Amino acid sequence: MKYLKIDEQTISDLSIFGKSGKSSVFDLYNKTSTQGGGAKLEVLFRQPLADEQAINGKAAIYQFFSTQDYAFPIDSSTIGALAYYLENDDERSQLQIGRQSMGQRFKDMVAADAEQVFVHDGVQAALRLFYKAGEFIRQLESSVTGTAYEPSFTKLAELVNASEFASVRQHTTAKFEAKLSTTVLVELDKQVRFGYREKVLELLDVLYDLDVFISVGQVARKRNFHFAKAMPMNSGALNYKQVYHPHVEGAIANDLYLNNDHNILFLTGANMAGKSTLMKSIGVALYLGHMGFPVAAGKFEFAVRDGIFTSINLADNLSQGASHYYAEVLRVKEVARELSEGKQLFVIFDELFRGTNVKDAYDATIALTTAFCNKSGSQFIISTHIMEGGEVLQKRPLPIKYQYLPTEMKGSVPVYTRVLRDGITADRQGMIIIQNEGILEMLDAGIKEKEAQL
Amino acid sequence: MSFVTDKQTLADLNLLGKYKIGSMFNLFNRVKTRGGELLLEDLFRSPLTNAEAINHRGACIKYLQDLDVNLDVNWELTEQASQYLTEARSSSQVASLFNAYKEKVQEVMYLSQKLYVHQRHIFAVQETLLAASNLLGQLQKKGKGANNPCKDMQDKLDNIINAPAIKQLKPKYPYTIQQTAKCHFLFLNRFRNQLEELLRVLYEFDVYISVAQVAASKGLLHAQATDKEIDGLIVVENLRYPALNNAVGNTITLSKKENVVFLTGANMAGKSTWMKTLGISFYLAHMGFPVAADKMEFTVMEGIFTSINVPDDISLGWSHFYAEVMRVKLVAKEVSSGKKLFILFDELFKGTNVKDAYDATLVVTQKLAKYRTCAFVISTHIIEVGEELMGTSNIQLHYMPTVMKGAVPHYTYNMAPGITTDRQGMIIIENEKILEMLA
Repeated sequence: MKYLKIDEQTISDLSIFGKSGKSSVFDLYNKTSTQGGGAKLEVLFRQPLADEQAINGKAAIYQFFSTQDYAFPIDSSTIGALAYYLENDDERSQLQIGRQSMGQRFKDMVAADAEQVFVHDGVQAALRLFYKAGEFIRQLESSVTGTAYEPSFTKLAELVNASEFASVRQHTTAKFEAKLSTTVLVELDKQVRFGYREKVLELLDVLYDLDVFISVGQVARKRNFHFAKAMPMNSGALNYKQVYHPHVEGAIANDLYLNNDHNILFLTGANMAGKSTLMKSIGVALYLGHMGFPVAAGKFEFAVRDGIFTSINLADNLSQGASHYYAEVLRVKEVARELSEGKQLFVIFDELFRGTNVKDAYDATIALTTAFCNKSGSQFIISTHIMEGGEVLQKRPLPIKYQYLPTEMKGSVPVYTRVLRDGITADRQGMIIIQNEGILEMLDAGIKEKEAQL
Repeated sequence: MSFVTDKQTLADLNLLGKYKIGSMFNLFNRVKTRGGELLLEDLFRSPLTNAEAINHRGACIKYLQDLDVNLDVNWELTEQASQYLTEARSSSQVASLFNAYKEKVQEVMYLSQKLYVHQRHIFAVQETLLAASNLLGQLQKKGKGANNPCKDMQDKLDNIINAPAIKQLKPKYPYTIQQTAKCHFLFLNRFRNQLEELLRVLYEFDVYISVAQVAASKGLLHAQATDKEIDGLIVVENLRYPALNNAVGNTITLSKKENVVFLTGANMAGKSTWMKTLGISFYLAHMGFPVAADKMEFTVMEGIFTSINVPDDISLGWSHFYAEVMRVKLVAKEVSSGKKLFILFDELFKGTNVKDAYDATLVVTQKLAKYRTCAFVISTHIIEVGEELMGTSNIQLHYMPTVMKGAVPHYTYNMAPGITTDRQGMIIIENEKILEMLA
């Protein structure tokens, strides 16, 4: 299977995995009820796909689950107990039938020994799991046929009803614990933990998948997320309708459309106008789209990419001696290398070259944006403070779309609409913020006071 | 009146922090006692605002550096001794004796550790006294009678160590019960205050000797403070970054006539390091600590504010620019209240568009420059602002040059007068061959 190329910088820019205390995209989708399900989900987040059919296939499964209100059939303690039990594959930990001497029996009456308890708990967990899974299969059997979930479901049913597990199924019960004689306990332990171990692990794996499906479907339903449509790579389309950032309260949605004829978005706007948030929401939606996950958008179609690269919060790595500017240049170089290998990428550059002087940033922005125009198979979003660069580019016949996030002044207070408009911003609110804070007046007053004292 | 600064400044200059790599605290921390470490931290937290006190401390450190004295003391034992001195005192000599016997009985009956611990504590006090008398011996032997700035501290040590009752104390570990009781009474009752005083003086010596040793090994020099109303604010020659061994030094004079330095230069040319060097040296000088320079004279000021790495506080919804504005506002408030301050702004307003940054940097620099009793160093990428400021009498323009060797930029780190014309940004891009890759 072909996977999307991403790196740590992109993952942290888009807050895919949270650092301590901060909300992450992963947390948003992680409603799994088992540890194994959570781990599966993390793998999915680490490896988005880059294959149109695989993505759409996955999306269809999640979409099926978003229409059904299923609950995961097995409680987390049962599945946890079973997983723990299976971890011990040391044959010496099996119980012996023959050693039930008089003394041993007396000891068991007083308190069962740890080994016995371990085996007993594990086997009981396995029995509960088979009972619940069997019930789940019977309930769904009729409704799943013909849906995207059918293949996975069939596999689950086959595993649960496998002939190997006949004696396990025979002892399942609706009660929390089945009554088992020592002989039966030893026999079941042998089957579950050693004889058919691989099959049991496979069953757990299928159940973890189910956990992920239910979790993602539930998030789509509750948050009213929509499923993206993956298109062939060379279609070059990127069509967002009403995309917003899932973590921002009361986020405002925007439309965005890029294609082979217009593959670069040149984004301008004042500082607090929401450029970074918009770029992050676009990036997050595309990232999730490549996993087949539902996204925070009304409608979303995208051409499958080879990779996603972002440069939104590039860390200033002073301790390594590289200045901010150099870090930016190296990041651009990395992207350029991927592009020169013929990869079709989606690239976000926020505040390109803010670490250098104006003249250089101006020259570099124009040179790079123009160079990116050659790569019509890839899409770029470039935001900058250097509006003057945009004005120069606008005069040339380049496949660039110019949009900005406006600032409106209400009296002396800037208000941000956060809705994209065509063109390049002419807003210059920096000075207004300084004036609003009364800094200049403060300094003037101080001098006057001083002069008055003299 | 205390020295004003804030967290951001302390972080920018990397002053505090035992567990932070390269912090100034770590540079000077060669102390041998826990009390000394706490005192050093205390000195770092409260620089002085009195020229006499600053020069006195500087002189003490210099004197100890010249004498080359060593403090030979055990960290654990001094710590035990200081803990012992916080214990309850007994009501009389008899009570003390009774207590010692009680502890002995407890030891015999159920292996109580009390007597053992008690005796270890007494041993610790004796060892500390020994270390102090060793130090005193060195001071007296190597000392040059006249002009001894440490005389007060030295006399205090002398008085306590040579008190007859202490001097004649001869018992050796392990002590008998009578000896334990006697020492207990002596240390915790009769000489308690003196011993506490002794520890305080010892910690002070510990810190000064530690600083003196660092000064000697790094070749640091003592700055001269004054609080007279003179023209010069900060005068330095060949000032270097103290933690670096081969740092390049620079010379600068900030005075009431020329109280603003406007600094330009390419990215890796060393602007930030030079500003940090100035800030750190200013701060250390106000603590009476030595700096890495051939000469440093300064008028005592009331505080320092820097803005070298203003963090982008995304979680608060503030953009970078707003964070910078709030920082400037804070400084403006302090400056306009009439305090004498040293202000360092690195890359002011880099979070906004060029036009705004130009306007804002220009107007803020012009307004700040009017405060002649404050000193300012302002760096920026916006070279055009420098051109506009040229000709303002109290603003000095300097830059950190870049020399091209073929296609590779080299940085001299030697500050030169004027405004930079270097524009290496594009050269770096060309060197990395990015545009060729995309062609």
